[in-house]
Amino acid sequence: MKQTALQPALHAPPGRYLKERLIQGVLFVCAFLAVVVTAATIWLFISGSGVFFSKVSLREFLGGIRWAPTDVSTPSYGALPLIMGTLIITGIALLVALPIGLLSAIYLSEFASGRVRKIAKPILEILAGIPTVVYGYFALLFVTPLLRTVLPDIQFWNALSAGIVLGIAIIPLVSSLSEDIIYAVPRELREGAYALGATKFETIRHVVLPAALSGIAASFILAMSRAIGETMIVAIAAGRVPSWPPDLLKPLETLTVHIVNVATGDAEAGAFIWATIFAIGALLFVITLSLNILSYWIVRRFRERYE
Amino acid sequence: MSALAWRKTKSTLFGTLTLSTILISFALLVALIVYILINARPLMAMRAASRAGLVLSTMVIQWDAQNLPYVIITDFIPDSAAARAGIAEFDAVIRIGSEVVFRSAHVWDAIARLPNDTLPISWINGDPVKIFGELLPQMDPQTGALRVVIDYLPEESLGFQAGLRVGDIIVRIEDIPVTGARQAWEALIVAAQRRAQPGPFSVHIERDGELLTLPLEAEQTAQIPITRSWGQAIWDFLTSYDSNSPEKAGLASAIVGSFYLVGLTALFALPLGVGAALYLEEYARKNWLTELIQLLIANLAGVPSVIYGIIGLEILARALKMDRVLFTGALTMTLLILPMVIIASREALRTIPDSIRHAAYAVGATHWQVVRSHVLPYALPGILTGLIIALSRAMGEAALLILLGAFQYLTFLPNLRSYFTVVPIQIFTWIGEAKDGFASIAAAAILVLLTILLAMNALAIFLRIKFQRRW
Repeated sequence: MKQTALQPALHAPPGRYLKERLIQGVLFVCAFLAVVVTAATIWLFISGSGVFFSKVSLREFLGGIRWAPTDVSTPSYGALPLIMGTLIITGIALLVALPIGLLSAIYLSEFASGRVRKIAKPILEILAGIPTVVYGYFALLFVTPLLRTVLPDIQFWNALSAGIVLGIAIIPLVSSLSEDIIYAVPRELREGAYALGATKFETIRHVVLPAALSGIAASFILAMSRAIGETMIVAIAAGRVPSWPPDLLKPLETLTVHIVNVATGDAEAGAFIWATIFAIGALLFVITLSLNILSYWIVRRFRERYE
Repeated sequence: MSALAWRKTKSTLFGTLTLSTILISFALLVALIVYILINARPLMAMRAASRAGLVLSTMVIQWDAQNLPYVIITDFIPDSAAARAGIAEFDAVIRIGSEVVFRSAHVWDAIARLPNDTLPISWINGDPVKIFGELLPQMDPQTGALRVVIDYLPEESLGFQAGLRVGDIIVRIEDIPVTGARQAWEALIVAAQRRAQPGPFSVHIERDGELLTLPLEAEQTAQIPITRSWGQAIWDFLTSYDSNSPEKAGLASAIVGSFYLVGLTALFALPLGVGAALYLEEYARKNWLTELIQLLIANLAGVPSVIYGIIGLEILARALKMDRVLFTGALTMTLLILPMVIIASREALRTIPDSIRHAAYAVGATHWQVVRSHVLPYALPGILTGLIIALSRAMGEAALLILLGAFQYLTFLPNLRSYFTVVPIQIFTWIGEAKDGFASIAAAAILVLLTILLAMNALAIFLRIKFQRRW
């Protein structure tokens, strides 16, 4: 942050000071857009959810186990199937991404030589740059048939393969964030441990990882938020049917996929089903926003300061 | 093993474990790419077939409680090689070379394996009248069984040429009993699929109480010239519109839509992102508002893209009545990538040392002159690199645009004010199609998308290397 105050130059031509203020004003508006967008989002979700919750009680929404907004005769708006679906997919994804991502980060920062690190990091980044529709294709047509050789009961659309592939997609997120943190642990800490006779594994286990713990936790939380918000992999590979009780081998629907379903469906603008995407979207927004703020806070609160 | 040796071994084992996780990621990447390449391979044969006039569909005959698949021509293309050979719409394709084909995918496989550019094909006319004339079902007065009688038979029909006449009762085709008009035609297909060679069918008929066997030349054969070329196939794929037949469907609308969208997004995001970054880095004082803006930008970067889709749909498209068109899509996409552009631009600005700014102030430049003539030019390569990375995210984004109506069947090139589609959404649509061949063109479209992304990233790396400065 620069603290430079605006000083009109000596003998400045008239109007120059005004121009400087004007430019600063324009730049401020660009930055202030972030506040506008956030405020508009919050207002939109509050007012849109108002329509929804004027008809459906919060209790039914968060506690009901039947999600059937398109049912003409007996519509039902219990979001638990969607919430559980999201949690299941996220859980599987984290089971895949956290160990692989963290161990990759440890390898890159603690074991790899400089050259290997320079080559391996960008390759991992490629995984992060692959569009999610591509992962969805991979999950549906490659991973599911592969899983079927082990689990013959698995259905064409299922939660398991979507979760696994979603996990693959967020490996780079976990590994690059954790690697930055682990790499930043100062060399002196490691050398101190070696001087006490610790082996490399013991140094990593008892010195490096504890020192990097807050950053690793933050990266895990961000990965979770990303998994909860992921849409396309799940929409393609997990089927688009809400199910209760959820089953790993069967299709299910998540919060994000419901939004896609409404958007690709043929409901007219103004139909009540559009109100459901506000309630679902608001839930999604609140969850991901809290997770992001939590990880932001953890990093700031628990950061080890090294002099 | 001593305690020390075990402790050392643990380090080695752990190192191997961490290495193996990296290798797993690489193996997955390779598996993904190889799998998509393999799946995209039929594209060449599909395009060759459709250019020759063979636009196919897999159909099913209900036969003895079984579903027997067979291949038909679904689209007549006048003046194509197939049309010149006498193949018409609804004809059933039986063989490519000596191999029986049951699904359209088999035809494409066979075309890919042909030794030269001549396609030996055999087919059965799809119009039963041109084979048997009009058949009338009736009941056998003695046994009560269903049978069919020829009611009308044009002279140019294959049956007439084989010696069939009006009034004949068709009893069997090969060893298959004939019980209905449509079933007689289906019996031909089934009989053809069961035998090893094309040739006349033995049609057993009853004429005036007498049983006769006539040879019916219903399986016609021809040699069709086809052009099998990857260059031509890729060109056709990139320049044709979407279609219900995978061998005719192409990416033209989606590619134009994607480039329009990403170009427009760049146009919006660059000034806004750089402006915000300049304000935060060069102008802002350290106060609560600046803190808030920074916190919000960090958080907006983590909001799922569907949420932006809802914002774009409800605020821009509906409340502001901009409709679900390309322009609205680009504006919404700008909101999605703006935090990324701002964060990257701020990092680029931060690498410029203060000595540059001080030198400019020292010769009497105003604040804006310092920023415009010194800070910005030096930071530009870094900013552009960040912008391109963010745009490649926009290029692959589908969820947000589904909400903005890009989920469309388009047979024209989109413009700013039109409905539109983009490559990732075209892929999403094709993945959802059950017909043979859509999985292949989805894979081909994925390769196109990955190539575009690779080119964008190569450009970003080039900019970084070419203009990188160390201070």
